[in-house]
Amino acid sequence: MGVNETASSETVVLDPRGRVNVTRDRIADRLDTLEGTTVGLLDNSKANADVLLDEIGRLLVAEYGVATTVSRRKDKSPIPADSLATQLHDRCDAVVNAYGDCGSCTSWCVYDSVDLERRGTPTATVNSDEFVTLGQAEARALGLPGLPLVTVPHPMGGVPEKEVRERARAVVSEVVAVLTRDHETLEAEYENRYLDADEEVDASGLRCPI
Amino acid sequence: MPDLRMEFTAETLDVVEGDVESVTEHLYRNGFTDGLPVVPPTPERVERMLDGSHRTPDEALGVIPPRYGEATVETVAINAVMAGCKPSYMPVVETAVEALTEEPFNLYGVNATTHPVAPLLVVNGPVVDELHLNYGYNVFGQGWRANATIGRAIRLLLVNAGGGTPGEMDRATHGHPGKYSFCIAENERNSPWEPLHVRRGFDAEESAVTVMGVEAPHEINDHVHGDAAGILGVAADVFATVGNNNTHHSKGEIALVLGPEHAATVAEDGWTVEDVQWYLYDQARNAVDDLHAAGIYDNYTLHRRFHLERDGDARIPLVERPEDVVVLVAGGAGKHSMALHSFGETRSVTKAVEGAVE
Repeated sequence: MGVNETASSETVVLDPRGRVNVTRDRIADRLDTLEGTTVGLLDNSKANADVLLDEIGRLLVAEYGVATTVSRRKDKSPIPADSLATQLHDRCDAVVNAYGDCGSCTSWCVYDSVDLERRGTPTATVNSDEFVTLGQAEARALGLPGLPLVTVPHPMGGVPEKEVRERARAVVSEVVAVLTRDHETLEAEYENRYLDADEEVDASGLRCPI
Repeated sequence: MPDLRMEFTAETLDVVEGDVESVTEHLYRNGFTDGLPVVPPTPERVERMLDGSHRTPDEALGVIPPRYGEATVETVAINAVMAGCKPSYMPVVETAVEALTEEPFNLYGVNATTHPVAPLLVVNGPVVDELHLNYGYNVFGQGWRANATIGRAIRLLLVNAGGGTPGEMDRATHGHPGKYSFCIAENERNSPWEPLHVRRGFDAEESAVTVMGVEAPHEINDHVHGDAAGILGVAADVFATVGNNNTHHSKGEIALVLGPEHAATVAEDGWTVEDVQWYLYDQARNAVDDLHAAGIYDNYTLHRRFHLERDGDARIPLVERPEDVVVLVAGGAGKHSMALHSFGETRSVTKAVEGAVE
C-alpha cells in the first residue's frame, strides 16, 4: 500500500501515542471532622507558599478546631517530597499542599498529593487557576482523577503578603470541605471540574489553537 | 490492508485521505506533530523501521511523563518514521528513551515545566561515524539527517507518548529552538581528551548516548587568549549570570561545549578535563548580593555552605560539585565555544547503545 499519489486513496497510519497503563484509584477516605486533628502543611518553596499555608493553618486552628499543624518545606519545587511526605503521613490526619503555579512545580505537587492519598492521607492541593488544567491532567495520568484541586488566582509570586493572606481566607472553607466531605461526593465534584474529557485548554490568549 | 508480517499493538488512526499532505494535515490537527510535515507512519514503514531495532516490538523502554504513555520499541518506531529517521537510527533513539526515563533525569519536571529546557542528546563512539552524525561545523544547527531526525523523534515521543503539547501538559513559557531537535555528537577525533562516555566508564569501542536537560546554547567568543585560564575566564563570565536556574537549584549541571580550537589551546596549556571542571566550579560564581538583588536565594545547600546573611560578597557556584561541569568538544574550526545552563533539578544520564557495533 503506502501513500498513493491520488487524492481519493486512503491510508492507514498508526497511533504514535503509546498506551497508558494506569491503575485508577479513588481518593482517600476523608475526616469526619477537623476538631482535634493534626493537619500537615506541605510547602513546596514556591514564592508565597509559606505565607498562604501560614494563614490557612492559622485559620484551621482558630476557626475549625484543628488541634495543631505540622509544617514541612521542600528544598525545591520540581522534586518529589519523598521523606517529607512520609513524615506528614505518619504525623498528620490530613495535609494541605501548596502549590502548583508553574509547570514542573504543579507536576511534583500533584504527585506528592497522589502519593499521600494512596497512603490514605486526605489532601487539599492548591493550584493557581492558570495551571490547574495541567494539575487535573496530571492527576488523571497518575490514576487519581478525583484529586480535589483548590484554586487561587494566578500568579502567586510577587503578590503582597496582605493579598496572599486574603487569598488564603478566600479558599479556607473549600480546603475544609475537601478534607471532610465524603470521597464520592468530592470525586464527582472535582474529576471533571477544570477539564472535561474533550475540552481544549482555554488559556485566554496564552495558548494559540492549532 | 496489505499482507504484513507483523501485528501492531498501536491503534490504527482513522483512515485518512492518502496523499502525504492530507495525512500530515490530519496528524497535525490531532496534535501529533511538531508543526513540520511528517512522514506518514504507515504499517509498512513502521515495519521497516522495526527492522533497524535489535529488540522485540513490545519491549517497554520506559513510560514518558507527564502523560505516562508507554514507549515500547513499536511506539518509538512509529515516531521515528514520522521524524524521518532511517531504520539504522533506531538503537540510538531507543537508548535516548531509556536514558530520559531514568529517575535522575526528572523527565516529569522537564517535560511539563515553564522553564526553557529541552533534552540534549550527545552521542559518542563508533555509531557516530556509522550513522554520519554531525560533530563538526554547525553541530547545533541544520544539515545532517541523523542529528535532525534522531532529535526530532525524541521530541515527537515527548509530545505523543509524554503528552507534551504546548499549553496543555508542556507549559514552557517560551521553550527554545532545540525543542524541534537537539542532538549532537562529540568531536572525538579533534578532542585532546578522552570522550565523554569513556570518562563515564564506558569503553571507547562502545557507543553511548548522554541526555542532559539544558537551555539553548550561548556563545563564548574568545579570539584573544592563548592560554587556558584566559579562555576559561571568558567562559566563566558567560556562565556566571543571574536569572538562570543553576543559581538557585542544586541538582543542575552546566555543559561547556568547547570548539576544537579552544580545546586545543586549553589542553596545550596542560589542563585536564578535571582542571577545567574545577576552574569553572571556582570561577563561574555569583555574589550573594547579586543573587539577592535578583530575588534568587534561599538555596538550602548554599545556606549550609556559605555565610549568606553575613557576607554579601560570598561567591556562590553554579553547581554543587566540580564534576557537575560537563565538558565536551564539538564544532568546526573557529574560536568559539558554547555554554549551556541546566533546568536545575536534573542530572545527565549516559547509557550504552545496545547492538550498535557489529
